[in-house]
Amino acid sequence: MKRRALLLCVVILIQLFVTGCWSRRELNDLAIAVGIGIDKIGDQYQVSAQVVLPSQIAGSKGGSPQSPVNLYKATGNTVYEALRKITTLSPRKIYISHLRILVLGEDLAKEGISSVLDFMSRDTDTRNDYFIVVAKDTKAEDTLKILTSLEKIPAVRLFSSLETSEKQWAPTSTVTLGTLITELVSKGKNPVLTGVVINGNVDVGQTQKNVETVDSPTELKYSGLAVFKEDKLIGWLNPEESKVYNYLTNKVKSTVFYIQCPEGKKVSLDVFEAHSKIKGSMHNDNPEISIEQHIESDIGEVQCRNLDLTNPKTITELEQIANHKVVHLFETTIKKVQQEFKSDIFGFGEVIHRSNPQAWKKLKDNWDQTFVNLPVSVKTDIKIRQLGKVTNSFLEEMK
Amino acid sequence: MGFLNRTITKIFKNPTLGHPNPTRELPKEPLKENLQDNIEHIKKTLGNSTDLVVRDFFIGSKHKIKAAIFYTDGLADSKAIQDFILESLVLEIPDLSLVPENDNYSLLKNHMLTVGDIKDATEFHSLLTSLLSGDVILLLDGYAKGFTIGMRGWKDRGVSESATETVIRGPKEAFTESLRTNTALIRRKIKDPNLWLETQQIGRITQTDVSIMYIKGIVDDGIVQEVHTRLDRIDIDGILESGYIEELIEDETYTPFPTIHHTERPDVIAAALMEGKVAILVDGTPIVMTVPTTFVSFMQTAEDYYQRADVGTLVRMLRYFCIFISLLAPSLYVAITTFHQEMLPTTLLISLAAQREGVPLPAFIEALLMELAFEILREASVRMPQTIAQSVSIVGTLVIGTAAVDAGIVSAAMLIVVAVTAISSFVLPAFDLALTVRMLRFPMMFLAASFGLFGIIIGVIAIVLHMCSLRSFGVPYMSPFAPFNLADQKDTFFRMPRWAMFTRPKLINQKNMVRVKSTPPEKPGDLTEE
Amino acid sequence: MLEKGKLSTRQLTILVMLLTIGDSILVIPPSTTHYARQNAWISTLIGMVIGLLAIYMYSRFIKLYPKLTLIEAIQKAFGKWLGTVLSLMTLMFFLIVTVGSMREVSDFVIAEMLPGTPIPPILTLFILIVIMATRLGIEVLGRTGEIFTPMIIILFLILTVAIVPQMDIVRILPILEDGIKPVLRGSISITAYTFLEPVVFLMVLPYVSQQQKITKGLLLGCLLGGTIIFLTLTVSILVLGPDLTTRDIYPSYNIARRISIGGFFERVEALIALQWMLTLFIKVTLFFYAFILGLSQLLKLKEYRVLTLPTGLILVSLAPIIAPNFTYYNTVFDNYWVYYVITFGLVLPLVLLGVAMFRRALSKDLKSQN
Repeated sequence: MKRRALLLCVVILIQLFVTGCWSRRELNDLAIAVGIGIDKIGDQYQVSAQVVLPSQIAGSKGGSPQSPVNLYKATGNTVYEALRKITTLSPRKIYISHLRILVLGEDLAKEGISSVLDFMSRDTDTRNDYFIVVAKDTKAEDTLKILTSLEKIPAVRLFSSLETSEKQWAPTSTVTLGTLITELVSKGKNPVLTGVVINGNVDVGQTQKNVETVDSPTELKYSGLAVFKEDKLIGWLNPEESKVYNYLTNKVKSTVFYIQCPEGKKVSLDVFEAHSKIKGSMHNDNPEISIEQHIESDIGEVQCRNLDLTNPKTITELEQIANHKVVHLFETTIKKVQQEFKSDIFGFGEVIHRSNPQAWKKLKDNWDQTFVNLPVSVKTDIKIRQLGKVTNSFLEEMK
Repeated sequence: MGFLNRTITKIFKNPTLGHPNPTRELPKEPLKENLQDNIEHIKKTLGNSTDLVVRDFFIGSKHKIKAAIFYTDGLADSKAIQDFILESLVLEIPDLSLVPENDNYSLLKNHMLTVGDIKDATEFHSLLTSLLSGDVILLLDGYAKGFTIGMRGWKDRGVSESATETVIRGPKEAFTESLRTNTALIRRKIKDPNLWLETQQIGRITQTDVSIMYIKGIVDDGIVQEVHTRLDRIDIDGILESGYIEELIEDETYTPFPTIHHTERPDVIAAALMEGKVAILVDGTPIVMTVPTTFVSFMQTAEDYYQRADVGTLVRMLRYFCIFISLLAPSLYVAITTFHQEMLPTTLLISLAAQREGVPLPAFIEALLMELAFEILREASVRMPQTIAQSVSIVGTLVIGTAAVDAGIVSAAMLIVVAVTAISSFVLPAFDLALTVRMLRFPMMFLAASFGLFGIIIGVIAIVLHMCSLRSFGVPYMSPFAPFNLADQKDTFFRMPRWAMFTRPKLINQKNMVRVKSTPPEKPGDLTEE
Repeated sequence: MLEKGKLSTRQLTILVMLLTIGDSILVIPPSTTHYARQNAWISTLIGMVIGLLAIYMYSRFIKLYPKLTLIEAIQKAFGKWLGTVLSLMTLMFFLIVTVGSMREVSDFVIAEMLPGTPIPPILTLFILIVIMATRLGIEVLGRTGEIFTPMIIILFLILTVAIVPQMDIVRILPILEDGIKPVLRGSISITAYTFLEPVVFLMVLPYVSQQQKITKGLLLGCLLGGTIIFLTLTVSILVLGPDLTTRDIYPSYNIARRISIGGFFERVEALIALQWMLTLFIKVTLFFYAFILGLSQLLKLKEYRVLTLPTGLILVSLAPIIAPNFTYYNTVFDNYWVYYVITFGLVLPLVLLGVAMFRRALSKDLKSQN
């Protein structure tokens, strides 16, 4: 009896292994997609996938030089359908766990992006570590066609430069899916996405010629931020205004801006720390926002001749000039967003939500209207700390 | 179904046992009084073996006391026999006034035989056993008893260095095949009178001497009792190596894990004895066993204790890390590249994908083939003579491996994984455990290939469950990890400094806990004075 | 005695802790946050307090029904007929918890680790080690828990610390925005799933070697497990925010996916999966064991091991059947499970204790009368 039970167990066990492994994916069954672009063509979604050719990137075998990536595209009624349709073109199934960039076409963005995002959040292979951007004045698929030098895989280049420019220059903003969804859902904050443009000719850009010359004819570039209301694209911010957004949302790690010295020429300040405190309060059933922006900076570049940086008074003067400029910039930008876009991208609503939750309950349904006339007071506190390697500029001595 | 049933039953059925009685209960056949009868009986029993030497003579020049000695040429020390027995008996003149009339037996024993090791012999079986062990038998005419004189002397290997357990710092002596030499080596390390030695013969045909040693007062008497019980239970025709005994007394046979530790080094045995373990020595093999054994003993080497504490700790941690690598590395590689590619960083993934572009086999088959190839190489290098072994290992690994990668049969990453696995397994000090890990690696690979990481987790849980259920002579195999004992942790992953190791492992003995009461070293004050 | 093993107090604590973590670490964040939003952490604390009280009640059990398991106690308290009926119902409870947890295991594995694999093979593999653990006895399970615990705790700490850069304290504000009621509703969920499940230990208490330390062991285990659940939930809210936590089916897995330290400690979500498999394994084994042991005691068998294999096979076939799809399972879980667990985790022990105390009072009365 015991023998029979043993046999039965063995048979069951063998069955487990012999019937095949269901979810096996060998490495060479995968088409690793690093970039996905979604455009809307009429009623249908066109999905384009930038797929890596591993042997071109890392292979020891030579062979004729091909492009390191391939673009596959297909059209379908839903995003999921279009993605699967790509298998009629690609020899392997598209694998999106290693996605670096998701480009949404401008037309799609104007119609509303929420319809495509659910697939990205529901599919089990997707993660949260890629960025989402909007293609400006071009189709998403075209942005995935441009070859880049220095970084062989264009989607990775898009990823890295977005990250770096947010850290170093701050007119761009890295947005991941989680953040985007949270902001879409929240009534107190509307999302933004960075825009990417193509400088040059797409047809040249996708050939090897683009990376063979010193000065690439076609380039991918990031422009300002796209403003959304609910999930529709309604407008663009220029780089200066985008910086304000990043200041207010505490995303600035380092940037540069210039101020004018008394004689009219320019001094560059290198910002190494920026922190904004946004406070919300209610006055007689009316919400109010007050912003306090702290900036720590160093002197980066001096073009003025008669600037005595060794005198503390000069520094104080410069700080005051900077304060004026920044306050003005903030106020103009906020006004523009309030009146032209009527969309609370800064998250003032969320601030009110946290500070006066009871009042928020009444305000939240009409927030976009209330936002238009929301009084916002801005105070900045800019400090100049170091001077770099030299004290006064040599320009002073030049005659 | 019936056919299968019958086949299985046939394989597992125990044949009826022949002789139910263990060796020590054979009927005792007493000696006869007539010397000639005894000589004939002995010669007949041994079939007139040509290495049996029989020498009859008269004791003393005046008296006609007839006697005969027997010894096995090659096993007994012929020169000593001639010097101390024959010379003293044949030439010396006994002084009969010392003993009552006609008691030649006690005359010989008390006044004439100038030898140290003397016992009475009254029946044939033990007499023959002693004879064949190298002792000298002296029989007197007219007496139904004789003497067994210990005069063993045969050629053995001599105390040399251990081939398998080498240390950089520490004694290099190793046990030999002679039981007496081995016990002497242990006695040299422990001079405590409480170190007791008990011997018995096991094996119906081989009559191998098996000794146990323990330090009374430290060891748990229950364990000694258990060892006796299990040794007594053995009924086998021959013991050729301690491995036979190990299999016959271990707690569980259906486990890949070793539950009895063995070593060639006397210092390791001495340390084990001082921890309250029992040492089992088998004549004819230099491998000595210790019981009870826990898992941690297999991850310790003698050198850990001779080097400094911090070095010892780091090396120990490395070993534990290596056991994981050795067991899981190929499985993890297969699982991740086949099921969980999202775990790899993108650049690594692309690199691996590029390598696998031309490879025809799925990752699992590749891994299996490489592991098998390694096992073959390993076994082959053990059998080969030393000189060829070197070149084959280089040929095997470098040339064949590189050639296989270039030919596109395997991917370079797989080769690296297999090589790392193999090297990690050599870090494990106990060869037994390395074998276990080698065995377990293959089922883990199967699980990884079918169920990915989930399969690996299931496999690991199953192995841990199994290890936790093992006992070695009543001591849980996984102590001091489980049941957890904080004080004993000082000798598992870590090797605490000498002054901190002042208790013995708890579960092995509860009585004599304190080793030594020493305090941490104090920094001396300023020794130089102005 | 059907079970010859002995548990030490430390092993008991560890098993309680691992059971409390059990599958709660997977399913609690979404369901509790659904009601309490960003204040779910308060729910957890409330639940923990209730849990500690419940554990204290369980520990009274040993005084009033010494050396008896739950099933034996039911039979003693209620007599033959009523006792058998109640025992069967309790056994059904254990069985359903086992199957439910197994279903969660397979759902998780299919969703996140091995998409495309059907349920039976996954569960067959899983049930094999559960059967193995049950057959080896409670002592081996305790030891296994002891071995895995340091790893689980260290992993948990590493993962929590690694995600600190991505936490944002504002996500947990405003506090008590909608008042205390949603928080209480959330705490009911958490109490039921997480803190009342240790009732299963009533089947195991007679086998603990140091009976007088049982209370301390149980309480400590509950505290430790509860702390880990609390931390998991709070981290979930701090990193994802209440909205995503509710929407994600396995938010902790999502969080683990986001860990990125120094550009190389990334993509480590498999470590979390490892941790969960272990705690789920402990939970399933404990309930499975309770069922088998209880059934053997009810049927007065000499040996409980024979039941393991058939029960295991039945469970593997049951698991896909109990709910046709995920939504069904979730709905039942959210709406009806709470009452089921409260009945067996709270009401039944209370009744048993009541009966015992009543009997004692009665016998004292009789004694004093004599």
